[in-house]
Amino acid sequence: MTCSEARPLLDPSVDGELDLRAALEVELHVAGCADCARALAACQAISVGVRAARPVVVLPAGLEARVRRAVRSEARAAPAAGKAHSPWRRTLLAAAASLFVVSGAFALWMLAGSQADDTVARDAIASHVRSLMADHLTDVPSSDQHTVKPWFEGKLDFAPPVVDLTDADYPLVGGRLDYVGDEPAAAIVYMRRRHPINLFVRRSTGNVDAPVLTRSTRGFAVVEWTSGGTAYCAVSDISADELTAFATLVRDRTASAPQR
Amino acid sequence: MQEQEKLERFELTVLPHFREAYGLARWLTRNEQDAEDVVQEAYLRAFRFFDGVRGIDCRPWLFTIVRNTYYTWRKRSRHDVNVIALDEHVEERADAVSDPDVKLLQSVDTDRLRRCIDLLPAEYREVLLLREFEDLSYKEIATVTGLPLGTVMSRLSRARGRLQACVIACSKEGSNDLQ
Repeated sequence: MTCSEARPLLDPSVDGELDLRAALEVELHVAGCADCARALAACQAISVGVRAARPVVVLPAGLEARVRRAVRSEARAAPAAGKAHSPWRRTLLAAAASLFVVSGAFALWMLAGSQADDTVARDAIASHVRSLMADHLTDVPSSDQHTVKPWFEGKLDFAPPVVDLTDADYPLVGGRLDYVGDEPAAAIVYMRRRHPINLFVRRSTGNVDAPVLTRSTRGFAVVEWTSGGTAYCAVSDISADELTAFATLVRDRTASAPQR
Repeated sequence: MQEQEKLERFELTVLPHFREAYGLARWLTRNEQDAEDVVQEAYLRAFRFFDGVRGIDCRPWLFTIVRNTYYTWRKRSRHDVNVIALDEHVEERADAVSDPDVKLLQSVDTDRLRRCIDLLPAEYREVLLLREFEDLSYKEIATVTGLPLGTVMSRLSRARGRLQACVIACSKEGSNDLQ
């Protein structure tokens, strides 16, 4: 091992991040090289020093209780706990809900043509949540598109396109057979940081259209589009903007990738 | 009913990490008042997103939320003073370290080191603090920050390199300069 090979490994060796063989090689090199030995000692000294400089956390009095209260009132404000509300609050919630429905309907009317209604989005969210709750994210766990794509053969009457987006930081996690409404769908699962993205792919007779945010609710966003006889629906708890960017990327890649 | 169960589960699994979450917010913001705001907002966000996280290790997940909340907060309140455009390709660490330098680093006093840590660009500082203060592995840091593993490694190495340079420079300028 040369100095230029050893240098980038000094930090990982201090952090215990090297495998046994690499750790031994670094040790061997450092034993015979005074420059690298000093660099390693400096790195160790900094690490030890920073750990010693870690300030003791003094929780401000009452902060934890305050946050706990805030979370509890957030939980009470959630629609599922409606029973506990005072009458005026219920009225207010009902008013807000109807306003939501009206504006939702208006938004859908604006989108008319691309989607008849938002049952697809609602079903897709339900499928997404189910896939996380039941700990059944994938039937075929694989980061390889050439493993995931053939897996769907014989299980669906169409071949869902599976594209690799690792370079854009959306690693592929696998695939799953699922349903959106009554229709069988391929669920292709990607990750964004720790957040799973379910991409539901179905057959469609609809026209080609661009990705559009059809629903953003309860922390979930849904983006839908159609292209080449296939309907796509992406669901995740990442931000609507990020999901739209993801959808645009998938659309561009599926358009350029050769499909059988 | 369902909400009640979610709340109970949340209080059992996420609330016990409160001290650590506050610690991270405190180190990132460098300020108690701001840390309180960030940690409170992070917990509310965490609760909203809690539905989908059954069965995963909740500490890195919570750290991710604290970190993202911090960045959102920083953008909003224009605390971007310490954001230096990072040139990831510039090698920061000095090639040669002398024996007296090593001695100096081994005996550096905590206050001086803390001041040098505070001078680090935020992007370097968070990686260093997640590693040394929170004892996260490279992989966990990559998860929390959403950075590729290679970037985590190079930022950590550069953070230490800068600290080393800062400590050595301070002691050469005389110990009173930074006080």
